[in-house]
Parts: sequence; structure tokens; C-alpha cells
Amino acid sequence: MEKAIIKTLLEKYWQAETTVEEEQALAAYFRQETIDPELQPYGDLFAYFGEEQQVTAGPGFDERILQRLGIADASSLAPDDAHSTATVRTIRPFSLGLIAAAAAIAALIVGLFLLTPPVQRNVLATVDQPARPAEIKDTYDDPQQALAAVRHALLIASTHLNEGRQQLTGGRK
Amino acid sequence: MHPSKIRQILLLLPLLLLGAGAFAQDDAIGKFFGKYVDDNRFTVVSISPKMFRLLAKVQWDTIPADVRQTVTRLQSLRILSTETTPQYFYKEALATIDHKEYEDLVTVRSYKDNVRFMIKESGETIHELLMIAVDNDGFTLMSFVGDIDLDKLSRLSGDMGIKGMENLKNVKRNK
Repeated sequence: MEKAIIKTLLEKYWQAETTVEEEQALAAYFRQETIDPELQPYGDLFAYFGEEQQVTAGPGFDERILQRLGIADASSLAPDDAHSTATVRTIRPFSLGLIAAAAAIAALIVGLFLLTPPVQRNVLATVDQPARPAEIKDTYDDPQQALAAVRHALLIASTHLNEGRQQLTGGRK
Repeated sequence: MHPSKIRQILLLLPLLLLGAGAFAQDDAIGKFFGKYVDDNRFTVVSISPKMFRLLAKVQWDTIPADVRQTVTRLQSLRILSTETTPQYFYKEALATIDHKEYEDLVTVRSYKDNVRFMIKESGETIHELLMIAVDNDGFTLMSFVGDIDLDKLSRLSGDMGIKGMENLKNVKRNK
């Protein structure tokens, strides 16, 4: 009879649908000396849960924690309210600042990546433009015309170069 | 905002600016061309490496050997010129050029015009010759990319010989 109830409760328990009262009922059942053999395996499990619930902080735990946090005079603090507020005051601003800093760094890095794509998009958008020699779009289709343009350009450059020479030698005379 | 957050941002800002600077250093002259290539105030001439390869098939019989040698060593040519606000574009071009990359070769200044030659070298070879010229009528930016022989280039305009280029080289060294 009881076994049937426990089994339904267990069913609910595995579905995580039990209420606190039902869980307490389960725990109470498994704390009994005599457990139905069929339910025995679960008994071990609940016994384990029960044991774990008994675990508490050892003596001097608060002091050690506070010492780790660098609050040397932890013992001088009152062990009740002041204790907890001191802890809160020292820990929270630090971790908040750290989180804020991390968020700021992340935001800036994201910002950097958001800001840089326009440059690259620009390059992609100007594939036809001569951003690099390899991407030069020809003005002429006819090699003959291209050659004429090159010769013209060379002649201009050459003339200017020689102009520079003439001015220099002129200046020396 | 928490002080430490502000401090973090202040620490990061210069780093970010450095990063942005590194991105911006992408072939200054290419950028200048890219910016104005579709601008209808500019006349653009560009000859791609592909076209330079095609030039080999042209009839060369009537073309002087010096020209031929110079042309066949070139890889690309880009020219931008405009008659609109020449001084403005001249200044912009000079500001765009990365002086770590391009070295001043010679500057020709007269009462009416201003011509600058700059080169990009690696070792003994000149990989790019940049000419920036301005007068009251216009601004021209020319970029020759390839294996550039200044002696031969100088000879192209006629009577000037190797001697002339010797002077140019001295000018560069004496700078």
C-alpha cells in the first residue's frame, strides 16, 4: 500500500513535479529501517541526499574566508549583521568593477570590429577601382592605344626629370 | 561609471587608435586613386599588368629601343589628372603619401609649376616612380610600377644622356 504511494511520489520526483511536502514524505520513508526491497536502491540515494544536507561550514570558516579576501581584522567585526555587510561591501564593488571593465573591453573590441568592416567593404565595393596594381581597370582595350598612352606618360615624366636636371645645372653655372 | 571602468577605457583607447592606424596604412596612393577614379572632375588613365603583357604583341618596329625596353619592364601605369582646384589636390596627394614608403627623388620648382618625383625602392631596384605635378592649370598624379631604370627614362625625352641622370643621382645622395 505504502509502496504504491511511494512509487507514484518517486515518479513525480523524477519529473521534478513533487512539492516540498511530498519530497519530505519521500525522505521520511527512506529514513525508515525497513524499506521495500524493490525500493532499496532509491533508499541509498535518499540516504546520500540526507547526509549531504547535514554538511555545514566547519568552525572558523567565516574567518578563513575573510582572511582569504584580505580582511585581516575579520575577528574584530561583530559576528552578525556587521559581518555580512562588511563582506558585501568588500566583495561586491570589486566584482562589479571587474564585470564593468570586462564589459567595457568587450564593447570596445566589438566596436572596433564594427568600425573596421566599412574599410573592407569599401575595398570590396571598389574592386573595379585601382586600389592595387592587380585591380587596375584598363582605360584602353586596344594595346596600340595603351602603348601610345604609356609612351606619352613616359615622355612627360622624362621631360620633367630632365627639367630638374637642367635647373640644377643652370643653378651651378 | 565605476572608476576602474574609466581607467580601463583610458588604457584601451590608445591601443584602439593604434589598431585603427594600422588598418589605415593600406597603400596610400592606391587609396588616392580609388577615391578619385570615378570622380568626373578627374581624367583617369590606367593600364593594367594584363595590358602591359598584351603590349608585347604590338608592332614595335617603329618604336625606339629605349622606349621598348622601358615599357616592357613596366607592370602598370595609373594617371589621375584634373583641372579643378589643382593646388588642393596636390596638397591632398602629398598628405596621403606615406613618406616611409616613398622617398623623395627630386623636386622641380619654378615660378609656375611644382613637380615632385618619389620612388619606392627595395634594394637597388626602383619598384615605383610617382610623379606629382601641379601648376595653375592642373594637377597630375602618375604612378609607374615595375622595374624602373631612371637612366633610360631620362633618355626618353631626347638629348639627355646618362650624364644628366648622374646629376640626379648626386642630388639624391647629397640631400
